[in-house]
Amino acid sequence: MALIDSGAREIPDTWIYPSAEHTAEVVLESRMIIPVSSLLALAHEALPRPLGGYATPDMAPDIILPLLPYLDLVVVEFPRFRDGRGFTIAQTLRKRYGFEGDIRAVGHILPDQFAALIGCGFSTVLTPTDHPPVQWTPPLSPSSEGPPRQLLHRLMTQAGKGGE
Amino acid sequence: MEQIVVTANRLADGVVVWLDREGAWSEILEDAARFAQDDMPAKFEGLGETHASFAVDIRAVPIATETGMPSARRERLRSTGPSIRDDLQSASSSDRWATGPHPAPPSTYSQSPYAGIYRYDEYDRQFLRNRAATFRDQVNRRLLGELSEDEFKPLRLMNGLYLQLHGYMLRVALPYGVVSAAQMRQLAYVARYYDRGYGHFTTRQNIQFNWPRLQDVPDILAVLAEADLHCIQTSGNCVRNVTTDHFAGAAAEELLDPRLYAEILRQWSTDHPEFTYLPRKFKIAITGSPQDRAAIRVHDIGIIGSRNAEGEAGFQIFAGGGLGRTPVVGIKVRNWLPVRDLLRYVEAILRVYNALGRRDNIYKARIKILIRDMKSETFIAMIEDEFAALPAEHNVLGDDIIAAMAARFTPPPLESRLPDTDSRDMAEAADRAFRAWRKTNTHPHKANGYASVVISLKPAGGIPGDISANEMDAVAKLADSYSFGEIRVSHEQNLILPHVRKDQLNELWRALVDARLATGNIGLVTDIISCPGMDYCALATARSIPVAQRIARHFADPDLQALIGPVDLNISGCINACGHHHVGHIGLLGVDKNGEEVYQITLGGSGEEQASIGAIIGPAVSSDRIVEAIDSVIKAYLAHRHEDERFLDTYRRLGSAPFKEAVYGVN
Repeated sequence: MALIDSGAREIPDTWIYPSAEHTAEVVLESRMIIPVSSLLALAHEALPRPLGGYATPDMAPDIILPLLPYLDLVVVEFPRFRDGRGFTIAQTLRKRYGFEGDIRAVGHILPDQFAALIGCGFSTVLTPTDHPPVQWTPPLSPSSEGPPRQLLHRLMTQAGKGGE
Repeated sequence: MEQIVVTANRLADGVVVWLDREGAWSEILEDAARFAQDDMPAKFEGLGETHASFAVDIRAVPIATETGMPSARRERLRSTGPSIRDDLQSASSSDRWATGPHPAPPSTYSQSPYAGIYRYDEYDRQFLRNRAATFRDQVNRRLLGELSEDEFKPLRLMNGLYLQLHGYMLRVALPYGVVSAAQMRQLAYVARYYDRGYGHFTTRQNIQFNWPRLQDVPDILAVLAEADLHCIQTSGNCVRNVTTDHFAGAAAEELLDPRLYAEILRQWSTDHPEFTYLPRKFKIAITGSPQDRAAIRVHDIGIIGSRNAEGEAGFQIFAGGGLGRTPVVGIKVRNWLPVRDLLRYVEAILRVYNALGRRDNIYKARIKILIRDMKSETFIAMIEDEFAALPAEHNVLGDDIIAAMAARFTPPPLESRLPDTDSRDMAEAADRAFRAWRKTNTHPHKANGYASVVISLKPAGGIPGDISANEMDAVAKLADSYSFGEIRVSHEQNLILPHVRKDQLNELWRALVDARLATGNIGLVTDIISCPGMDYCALATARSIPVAQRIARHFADPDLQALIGPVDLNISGCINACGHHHVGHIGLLGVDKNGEEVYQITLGGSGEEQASIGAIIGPAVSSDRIVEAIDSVIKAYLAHRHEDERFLDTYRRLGSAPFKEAVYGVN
């Protein structure tokens, strides 16, 4: 599994992901990604930085709100690519809560969902083994102005109101 | 005694194939290797992986040893072709499709500059070309095995491509049912050169082709793109084609032309990054008329446009309606929404739904179930909370944006000062058939001297909603001559010429008679809505079309239909209710009972302002008895109705008792 940024470039992954066996007894260190439910139980001021939170799709986004000032990364899990809840979680973090850190998609996701992921505010993607970074180069690579959009999106963008 | 054969659809062209004794795939059922049931697990092992790049939906089906025919009706229909099209049966795949090179498509020479479609510019068009190119890449990756069928399926569904009984089916979006004559010619071209010479208009105002080859679909999308047509989001768990009143922008009683807002919703929801993997499909309908011809109360979101006392445009919003397994009439969630907030409010509804709609059970995943489970007050409070939390300037539809979008619709250059007398054409109308047609198949227009004309696609004994390539061309020509090159598709599966001069009605009617398109039955008992049913559809539990044909033939006499008056008769071939049987005054639902096709009868449904879900009146009736049963229902109505009382009103006054008695006898 390799990490890519929003331009589909492979980048080094320096984060420590939660492992199923040890989550309960782990000693917190910086650059760890910890399930949001575990983080909520801890004193926020004592949390090491940089720190990542791991969100499952059934998490109501408002649960994570008090943690956001202490997080540098939010990892959002996609159990199946057809499960679109992660898109709404990312969108809510960015637009409603103004989170400016890294938002990372992990799990069963397809290269064909790349544009949607970026559009909802994801900034990195942990690519699944069967879809390595090479597949994530958009088939029609967008020019600097981006691919053509229909009139409404152009008008909305002009008006500075966000086209989505 | 039963044996087993193995069947699949060929990946590249969708053709039904059978595994033969050499382990190859044959188009002929007689070639199929037969296995004893006990042998199957061993024979079947690894088959899926070995053949994954050649065949899809590989499975074993039982056959009767004596006849060699599959035991299940669905598989028999797969092996022979649709029962309603003898002419298409048993053609080998080499004879099914036109061979190239094809002539240049009509988009290279046919324009309809006055049709009331949204006018694309080069950016809009390039967007469609890119979408077509993206799908070409995806099809190639599938054919090369880089994408599994499981991964490819949602991608093809996002482009309207299904796998049905006999092969692939491609559903083309006709946004809010508005089509130009030039676009209709392009559709005829697709039917002729990439399909088998016909198409089928659906209850979502779309058209579907029943025989496209996967290998051709990228070319079809490219051809459609040249006429500003596409298949985007005609399937899949996303926002589907926004439907509207088929008389939009023409009807005399309309308060607000809904096409502009339908187009805004279409563009906003196209490729929406957040709402493309919803729990389930999502259907929006909008009308701007007090007469609801768009069935907005049985949609996930239903919108009624109107004007307030100050003359400002705005909307009433309904949500949580739907048909299918759990039919529900939607609830009103907003009494007044200004235009500027339309997208913001719809976004709030979709966000709540996307986060909370069930994903563990597809039968409980529609928004109607969410609203039912959480109580409507709670749901409304959640939408309002989400709506209030949106950044102030996010997705606001300002006056400038509305004006720029509205400028893309060209109003038809209607002639003013036309006489509003019907004298001339009524004098010509010695012909009773014309008078009857004019009564049922026209609707009052907002402009003096004009009418909207409905072209029935329901000739007695025909296939509801089906149209041949030649008929598409004929309709396009008539639209050019009589309606500014503009055509509409209704959710009742008919076509409309929206702006016809009244003094040309007689001439138009004569031309329709010549084209065999002058059936005068709109709103009458033979104007039957029918889904494709088991003749085409992989989900169906029974056939719909043959039942529609038999009922229509039974009531074919125009005088009898006129006597009966308005009746909506809707037929679905399964519980998914594409034939909208729940909102038919008379609804039929085909189900399978131990291998026999039987039909449940519901009465009292309506998709209009006083929307209601029909109630089942008794045990399902067998296919041989269904015409007789409907005849009994109609006779009971005729016996009990008050003067000028519609079927629906008689039912509402009396309840189901007299109809039960008529169908099932006393007690």
